[in-house]
Amino acid sequence: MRNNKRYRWIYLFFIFVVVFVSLYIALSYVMRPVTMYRNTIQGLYAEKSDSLDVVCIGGSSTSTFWEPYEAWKRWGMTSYDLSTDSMTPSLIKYLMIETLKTQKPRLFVVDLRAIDVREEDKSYYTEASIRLVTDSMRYSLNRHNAIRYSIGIEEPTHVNDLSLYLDLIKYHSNWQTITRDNFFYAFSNIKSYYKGFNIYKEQYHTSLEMNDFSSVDRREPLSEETEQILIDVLEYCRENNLEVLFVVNPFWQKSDITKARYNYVSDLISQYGYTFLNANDYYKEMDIDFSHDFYNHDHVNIYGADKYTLFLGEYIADNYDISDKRDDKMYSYWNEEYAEWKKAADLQKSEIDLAISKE
Amino acid sequence: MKITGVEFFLFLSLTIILFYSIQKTRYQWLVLLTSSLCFFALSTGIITVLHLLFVSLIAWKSALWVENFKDDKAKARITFAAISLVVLGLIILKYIGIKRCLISFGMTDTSDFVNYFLAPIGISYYSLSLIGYILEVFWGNYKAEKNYLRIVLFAGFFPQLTSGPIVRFEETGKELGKQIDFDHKRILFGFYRIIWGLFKKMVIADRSAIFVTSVYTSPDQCSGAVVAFSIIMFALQLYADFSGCMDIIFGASECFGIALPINFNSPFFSETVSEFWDRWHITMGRWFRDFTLYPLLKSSFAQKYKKALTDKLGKKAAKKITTYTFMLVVWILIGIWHGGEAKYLVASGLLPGFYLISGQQLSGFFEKMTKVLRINTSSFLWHLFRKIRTFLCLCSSWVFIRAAGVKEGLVVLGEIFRTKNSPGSFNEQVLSQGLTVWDFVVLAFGVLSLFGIAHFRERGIDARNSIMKLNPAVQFIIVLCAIFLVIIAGIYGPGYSATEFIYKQF
Repeated sequence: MRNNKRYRWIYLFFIFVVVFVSLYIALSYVMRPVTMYRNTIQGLYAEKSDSLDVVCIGGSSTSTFWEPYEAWKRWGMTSYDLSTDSMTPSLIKYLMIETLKTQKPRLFVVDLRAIDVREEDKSYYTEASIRLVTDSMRYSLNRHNAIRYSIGIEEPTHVNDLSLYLDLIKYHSNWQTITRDNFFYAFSNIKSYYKGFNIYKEQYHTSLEMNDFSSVDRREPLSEETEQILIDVLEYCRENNLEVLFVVNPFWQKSDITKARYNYVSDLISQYGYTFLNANDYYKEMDIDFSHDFYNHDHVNIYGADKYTLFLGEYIADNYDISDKRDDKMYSYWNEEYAEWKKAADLQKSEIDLAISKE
Repeated sequence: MKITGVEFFLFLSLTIILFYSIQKTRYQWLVLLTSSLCFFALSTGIITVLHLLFVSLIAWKSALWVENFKDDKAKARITFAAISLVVLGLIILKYIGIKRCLISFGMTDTSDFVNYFLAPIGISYYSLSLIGYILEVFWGNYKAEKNYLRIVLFAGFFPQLTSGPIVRFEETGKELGKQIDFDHKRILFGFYRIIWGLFKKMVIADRSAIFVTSVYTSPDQCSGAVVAFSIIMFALQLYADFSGCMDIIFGASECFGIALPINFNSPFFSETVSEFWDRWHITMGRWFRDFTLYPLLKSSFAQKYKKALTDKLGKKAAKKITTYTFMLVVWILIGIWHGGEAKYLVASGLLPGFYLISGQQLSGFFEKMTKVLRINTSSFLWHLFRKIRTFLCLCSSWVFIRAAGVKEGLVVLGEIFRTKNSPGSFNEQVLSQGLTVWDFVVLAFGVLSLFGIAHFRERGIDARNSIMKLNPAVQFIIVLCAIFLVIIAGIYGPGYSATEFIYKQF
C-alpha cells in the first residue's frame, strides 16, 4: 500500500518533469528574438520535406552571394542558403546534420570564407557567432553537440555556457517586448523570405580595385584548430557519403596569403576526394566588376550575386546530376515565390543604380 | 556556490536522494555531514574546511572538559580560552583579512598564499553558533555532545552556511540527529518555500537593486522625491533579499525534515523599533541578547557601575542608564559583526540602538500626547501611522548599509531635501533608472504578494498549508506558474549582473 503511494508520486513527478520541460521549450521559442537569422534557420524547417536539391552553408558570404530563386529560374534547381552573419566554421558539420533531418539534398555547397577569417583573427568568432545559429535551432541533441563543439573550439570570451544551451536564461527578459511574431515563430513554421538570401537595405555599393592573386601557387598551412575543424567536416561528409562542393566566393583580398591558405585547403580537400572551387581564380569567367558589383570589401551587391550565381550554378548544373523541376507541379510554388523575389531584387538594383549615380 | 544557482539545486537534489536512499535512517545525518563539508569545499575551497573542523573541535573538546571539571575557575578559563580562539579566527579571517595579517608580519608577496585562505563561507554565523554552544554548556543549560562529528554538522549544516540563521545546539543539534522517513509532502513543503524564496530574491530584490544602484550611484542627478523613493526601494530590496535567502535555506532544510529556528516574522508590521528587532533577524537578536547583553548586565562590573550611579542619580535612573549603556555596547557589537566598517556601525548598531533607547525613553511622553490629542489608539489609522513611522526610522538607518560609507550615506539623505533642477518629471526620472513600467508592475505584484502572505500569516493562515489542502491538479498548476514566474520575471543571466545575497557578506 505504502509502496503504491510512493510509486504514484514518482509517476506524478515524472508527469511534472515532462510538462515542465515542454513548457520550458515552448517559452524558450516564444522569448527568442525574431531576427532575419531566425527567419533563415527556422525557414529550413518550413521547407517541404526532401524538396531541396542544394543546401549552401556558410556565413554572410553565402547569404549575400547565392541567389536560390535565380538558380531556380535558370536551371530549375531548388536550393537554400543556410547561413547567418559571421557564422563560425565549427557549426558547418552540425548544420549539415540539421539539414539531413528534413531534407536529402543532392549537393551541399560549403563556403569556406570563414577559414581565412579565422586565420586572420582567431578572436573574430565570438559567442554571438554561435548564438545567431543555435538560438534559432530547435532543441535537440545535435544543437547540444553543436554548442559543445563550438565552445570547445572557439573558446569565446565572456561566454555564459549554460545560457547557450538553455537560451531562455538569456532571453527570459524579452517578455516585455514580445509581439505576435514571437508566437508565430514559436508555434508555426515560417518560411524564409528569399530561401535564406539576404537583401541588405542601405548596403548598395562601394568601388574597389581588383587584386588578382590567382597565379600564387605557394601553400600556407592552417593553424591546428582551423585544420581540425575542416578535417572534422570532411570526415563527416565522407563517412556519410555526402556530395559536397567546397567553395570560396569572390572578395577583395588584401594579400597573397589568403590565396596561399586556400591552396593548402584545396590540397586537404582533395585528399578526401572532394572538389574545391576558389571563385577568386575566375574573375574573368564571372565577369565580376570590382568597381560596381560589391557593397563592401567582403560582400557583393545584388549585381555581383547575379554573376556569382550564374557562374556557380553553371558549374553545379554541368558537374552534378540535378534535375530540372520547373515543369514539376509539386514545385510550382517556387514560380509564385520567384515573382516576389524578382520585385525585391529589381528594387534593390534600382537603389544601387541611384547610389552609384549620386557618387 | 550561489544558492540561487543551478549548481546548488543539483547539489541539494543529490543530497536529498542520498539522504532518503539510506536504509538505516540513523546514519542519515552522516549524509548531511558529508554534503555539508563538500558544499563548504566547493564554495570557498578545501582549505577553509579546516577552519570549520578546527573551531568545531575547540567547541566540542572545551565543552567536554567544562563538563568533566569540577573547579569553577578552571571551567571559566577553558570557556574563555575556547571563545577567544573562535573569536580570534573570526577576526583574522573575516575582519582583518589574512592578507593584512601577513603583511604586518613582513611578508610582501602574499597573493598565492592568500588564495588558499579566503574567509570561509558563513564564518560569522557558525562562529556565533559555536560560541553559544560553549557558553550554554558552561552555564549548565545542557549537556556537552560526545560525538565530535555532530558538532561539525551543527555548525556547518550546508543550507545555513549562506546567511544563517544563528542556531542553538539544543534546537538544531537535535533536529539534525532526527531519523526521517521519506514523505513526498515534506519535499513539496520545502520546495514551495524554496520557490517563494527565489521569487523574493530574483524577482523583487534583484529588480529593486537595479533602481537602487542607479540612484545611489548619482543621487545628485535625481530629485529629492526620487532619492526618497530609492531609500524605500532599498528597504524592500533588503527585506526581499534576506528573507528570500532564509526561505530558500528553510525550504532546503525542510526537505530533510529539519526545522530551523524562525528568523523573520512579518517585520514590517512592527509598530515600534523594539518590536521590529523581535521580528527581524530574530536569531541574531536572540543570540546577542542571551550571550552578550544579559551576561554583561549580570556582570560584577555592571553591578558596580549601577551602584555608583544609584548613589548619584537614584535607583530608577541608575537602572535605566546601566541598561541603556550596555544595550549600546551590544548594538555596537552588532554593528561590528555586520562588517566592522563605520557604516555598519552606524546602520546596524548606533542608529537602531538610538531609536530603541529613545523610543523606550519617550514612550511615556507619547502616551500622554495621544491622550491630550484624543487619538483613538485602537483605530486602524493609528496602527498604520505607527507602522509607517517605524518603517521610516529603519529606512533612515539602512541608507548607510547601501551607501559606500557614512559620509556618502549622509549625502544621500541630504539629497532628499536639497533644492535642485533635476531633468524631467518624477515619472520620467523613475523610468530612467533602468526599470520599465512593466518592471514596476512586477514589483507592485511582488509587494502585494509579500504583504498579502504576511497579513494572512499574522492571522494564523499559512499559505503553504492552504495550497497543500488543494486538489493535486490545482497544486500542480500553482507550482508550475510559480516556477515560470521566477524563470521569466527573475533578474538573472547574461545582461544582468548577478546580485549576491546582501547578508551573505556578513
